[in-house]
Amino acid sequence: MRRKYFLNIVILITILMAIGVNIYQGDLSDNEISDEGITSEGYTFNTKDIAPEEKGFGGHIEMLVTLEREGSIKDVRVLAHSEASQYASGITEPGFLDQFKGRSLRDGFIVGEDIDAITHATISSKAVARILETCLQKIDAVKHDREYTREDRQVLSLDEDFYITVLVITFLLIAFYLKFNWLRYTGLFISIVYFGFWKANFISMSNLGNIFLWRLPDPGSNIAWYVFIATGLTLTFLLGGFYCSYMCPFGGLQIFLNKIFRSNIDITPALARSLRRIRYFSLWILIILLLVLDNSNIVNYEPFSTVFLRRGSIVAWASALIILILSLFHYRPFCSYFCAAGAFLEILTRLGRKVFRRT
Amino acid sequence: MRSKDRLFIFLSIVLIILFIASLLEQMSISTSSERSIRPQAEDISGVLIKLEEANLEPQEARFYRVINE
Repeated sequence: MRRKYFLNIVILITILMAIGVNIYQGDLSDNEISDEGITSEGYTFNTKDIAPEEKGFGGHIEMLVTLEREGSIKDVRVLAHSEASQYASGITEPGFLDQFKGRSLRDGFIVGEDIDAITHATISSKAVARILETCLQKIDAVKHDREYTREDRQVLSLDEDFYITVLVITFLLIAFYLKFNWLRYTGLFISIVYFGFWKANFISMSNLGNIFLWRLPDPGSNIAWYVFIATGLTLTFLLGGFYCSYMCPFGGLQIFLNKIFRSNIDITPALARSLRRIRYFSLWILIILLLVLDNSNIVNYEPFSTVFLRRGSIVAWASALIILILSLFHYRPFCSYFCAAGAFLEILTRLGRKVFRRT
Repeated sequence: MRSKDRLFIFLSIVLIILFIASLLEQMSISTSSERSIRPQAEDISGVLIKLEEANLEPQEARFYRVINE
C-alpha cells in the first residue's frame, strides 16, 4: 500500500516536471512550437497599425501583410483604400501584389526599378511600396532594439517621369512664346501622347479637389505630378490660358478631331454665352459637393480618364463618345461648355490679368 | 430658333443628364463603402481564421502569429 502510494507520487512529480520543462521550452523557443502539430510560420499585421502616416492619393492604403520568420514578405492583401477607382483598381490585383512576395529590406522597394507600377496608377503603386517598406523598417528597428528614423529615406526622387515632364513643359513654353502654329500642334500632340495616354495626367476636378482637401501624394516619390499640376496652375495664372491652350491633353484631342472635317456647326452667340454658364454653374456645384462629402473621387465626371485610361462605365463612355463625335463638328465643345476645371482655370487667368494688368 | 441651335441644346441636355448620372454613380461607389473600397473581404476571412494573437510588441501594433495546423 505504502509502495503504491510512493509510486503514485513519483509518477505525479514526473508528469509535473515534464509539463514544467515543456512550458519553459515553449517560452525559450519564441513561439516556434507552441502546441502539438502547430508551428509558427510567420507574423501578420495590419499596415494601418504600423505606418498610418504613409498615404496614397486618397489616404492610407490598408493592407494585411504576413511576414516570414526571417522578415521577408510572405503574403500581402489590400483590405481597404480610398484611391480613385478608375486609376487604382490594379493595386488589389494579385499580379501587382505578388511582386512584393519574398521581398525583404535587403531587396529594393523602388517603383520603376524593383517593382513594376500599375499603368496609369504610379502614385498608388508607389504608395503601396512605400507603406510596405516603412512597415518592414519599423519592425526591423524593433527587432534590433533601436529607434526608427526616416534619415535613410530618399527625400526627393528625380526619376525619368520628372525629366520628361520638365522637357515637355519647356517645349510647350517655347511654343507659347514663339506663337508658331506648327510648334503648338506638335506640343499638343506630345501632350496627348505623354500626359494623356501614357501618364493620364490632367488638371481635373478630382485633382483640384485633392488640392482643396489637402490630400496630396508623397512629394518625394511623385515630384513629376507636382511639377505638372504646379506648372499648369502657375503658368495659367502668369501667362493666361496656358494650360487649356497648350498643355491639356483632352483639349488637344478635341482640337485634332476638329481638324479632320474642318467644319464647324456654328451656334448663335447668345446660345454659346448661355451654354458657357454651364461650366461655372458645374464648378460651384462640384465645390459644394466636395466640401459636403469630403471626397474628391465623386467629382470625377469628366471624360478625361475614360478616354485616356480606356476605362469607365457605360454612362462615362456614352458621354465621352458624344463629346468626341461633337468635336468633329464643333471646336472644343467640352472645354467651351462643360469643363468645370476649365472654368476654375479661367478664373485664375482673370485673376492673373487683374494682378499683372494684362489685356 | 435655328435647327443647329436646337440640336446643340438637345445634345447639351443629354450630356448634362449623363454627367449627373456619372456623378451619382461615383457617389454610390464612394458612399456605399464608407469612402473606402474594401476588396477581397471573403478571402481575408479565410486568413484571419488561421491567426492567433501573439504577444509581440512592435510599438502598439496588433501582431498576429500565423499558425500551420
